[in-house]
Parts: sequence; C-alpha cells; structure tokens
Amino acid sequence: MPKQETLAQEADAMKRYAITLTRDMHAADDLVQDCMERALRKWTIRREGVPLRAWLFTMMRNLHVDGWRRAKRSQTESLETMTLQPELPPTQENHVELNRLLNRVMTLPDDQRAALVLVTIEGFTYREAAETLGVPEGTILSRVSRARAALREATGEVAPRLRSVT
Amino acid sequence: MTTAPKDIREEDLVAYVDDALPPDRRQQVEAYLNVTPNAARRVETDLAIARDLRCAFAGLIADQPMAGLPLAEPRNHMPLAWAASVAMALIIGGAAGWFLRPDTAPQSMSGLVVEAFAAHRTFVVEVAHPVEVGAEKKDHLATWLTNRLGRPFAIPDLRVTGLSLVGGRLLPSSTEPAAQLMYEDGSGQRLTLYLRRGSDDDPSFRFAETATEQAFYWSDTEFAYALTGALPRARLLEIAHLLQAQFEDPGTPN
Repeated sequence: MPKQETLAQEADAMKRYAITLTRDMHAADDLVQDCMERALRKWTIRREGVPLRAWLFTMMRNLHVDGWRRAKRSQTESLETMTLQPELPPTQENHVELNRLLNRVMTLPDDQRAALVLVTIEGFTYREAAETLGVPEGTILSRVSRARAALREATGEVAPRLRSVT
Repeated sequence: MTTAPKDIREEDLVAYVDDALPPDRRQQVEAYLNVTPNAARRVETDLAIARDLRCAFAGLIADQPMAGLPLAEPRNHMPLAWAASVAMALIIGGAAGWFLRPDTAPQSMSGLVVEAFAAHRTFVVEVAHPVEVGAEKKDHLATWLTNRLGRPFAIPDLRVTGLSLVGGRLLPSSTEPAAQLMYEDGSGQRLTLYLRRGSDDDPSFRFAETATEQAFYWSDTEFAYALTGALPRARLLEIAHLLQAQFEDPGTPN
C-alpha cells in the first residue's frame, strides 16, 4: 500500500491524539499536518517492528513538545489568540454531558491525559503506552489510575481507591 | 469458590477496566467485585466514563473532517497572487482524495447552489436589514463566524475590485450553519458569498445561473463556497479567484 494511503488511515487516530496534546481543535489540525509531513519525509527510516501508530504518536509528541508551539507562536501571531476548545456540537447525542467530561479530561495534567487517552481511546496496551511516552509501565498504570480517580470524583461518585504497590 | 477475593490492588481495578488482566487474575477481581459493592460501583463508573470518552472523541473528529494534508513544506505567507493560489488549489485537489474519510466523501454541490441562490435573493433586496452584523463590526463578525463555522475565519477584503463589505449573517442549512457575506460596489450592486461545511473537494470554479443571477462555486477540503451576483461572468470569476486566494491563505491580513 502506498505510504500516503497507509498514513491516511491513521488520520483519525492522529487527530484524536493531537487534540489530547494541544487541547485546541485548530492547533490539533496544524499538529496533524506537521506530523504527516514529517512522517512522509522519515518514512524510509522507520524501524521494522515498530507499530505505525506508536511511531506516529511518538513523533507527534516530540513535535508538540519541542518547539512546535514556540514556532507556531512566532509564525502566526494572529492565529495564536484564536483557540477552539474541543467541544461537541449540539446535534450530538448527550452533548452536554459529554462536553462536561471532555472539559474535565482537558483539565487533567498533560501526562495523565495522554496516558488515559492512549489506553482508553486508542486501546494501547500499557506496554505500548509506556514505550510511546517513554516511561515505565507502572507509571502508565498510576497515571491512568489518577486520571480515572479525578474523573470519577467529578461525577460525584464516592468510591474507594485501593492500596497500591507502586 | 476457590479464589479468595483478597489482595486486590489499585492496579488490578485499573487493569480490569482496560481488560488487561490475565484470565486467572481477572477471575479473582470479579470475585472481589461480587462481594464488594463499593468497588463494583467504582468499576462500573470507570467503564461508563471510558465509553463516554470514546464516544466524545469520536464525535469530535466526526464533526471535523480532516483538514490536514501534507504539502511539501509549511507555507510562508504568500502575496495575494491568485495564480499561485490556484496552482496550489489544484495540487490540493489532486492530493486530497486519499485524506477524505468515507463519511465525508464528495457531496453533491447542487444543494449548495440552490441554498446560495435562495439566500442571495432573500437578502440583497433588503434595505433595512441586509445583514445581521454590519461591516463596522467586522472583527466581531469574524469571531462569531469562526465560532459558529468551526474554522478560522477572516473576512475577505475585496476593495481591490471596488467592492466594499456590507456585512454578514449566519444562516441555517440542511446540515451545518452556513454564512453569507455581502459586498456592494459603488453603484449599489450587491454580491453575496455563501459558504458552509460539506465540500466535494474540488477547487475548480463551476458556473450556475438563473434568469437573474449568476454564481461561481467551488470548494476546498472542508468548505464549499458560492459567489452569487448579477454581474458579467468574467467579473464574477475574477472576484471568485480573489476570494479563493484569500481563503487559501489564512495569513492574509484582512
């Protein structure tokens, strides 16, 4: 399959992760585009055996972390102030409830949000999430645990959090 | 019951929700949940949140067709040369096919033109309320349309062709909100630009006419546009080129 087509199949997942990283719909679009450009340039040096999505996500996070924001800010001053929070349209079923949840997720610490989204939305195993984010598996587990506790708390559900060995 | 529901740790409950436990451990957790209503409720809540989260993220991107496609290099701001812009639009048209998800596949543009003609006829004759937000509140109009259309929106400047902005309005359409911008020339001749999400991703200009008005319409990866007016066809096309160039280049100061 041509690399463009292969990459295009990852577009939705990339957009979801870009929203997770940037918390802004416009910035997410830019990040996806930047990442796709870089992925096409680096396609040939992709290591065998690295799952495509994990490779893309690692690349995207690097782009986001080092300098992407800074570069954008200096390039397009006018767009910088125009943010678009992730929000579902009123046509979406349960949009009020889901938007409330989205809001909470977006206010989680970045590390927790990324771990939660990789595991819960993208179905990464803890090991894949650990490799993508460059931390031990146990750290992924505790980030997901804390993220869930925060979201649960916001629902008003008083529930036990168990003793942990890590 | 052979497995005593004890020594269940936080990690077990987390991994249970993610279905990441080996079968025997999973059984132990289930046994624990059966006798521990608190923990069972917590796990149910976590599962519900996970489902909602997947639903929310799916909704976010379903609402926002992919805009991104990898052009060679990030663009610098271009001068308003429509020739360059049209060339780029052709490249986009050629390359964009593989970026469209099935549910955003090319749509018929006939609906757009019908809507645009109707909106044009309704509002250009208005004396008292041709627009909802007038040109004097152009920045407000831009912000408003940015929010409602879900895209960065700079009001195109057509003064170079002798047209000044009257203003704009939001309109209902069969799918998402649409916007209409109105311009007029020195003699009071009015033109409208109608745009909304839902494109066939074809940047080429197509022509439609009724007994009284003419329209050129086109689209980019996300939006469809129709420029309508009772002007000579060549002049209308020139303005359409200018509009397309300005929408192609988000860095153009307005």
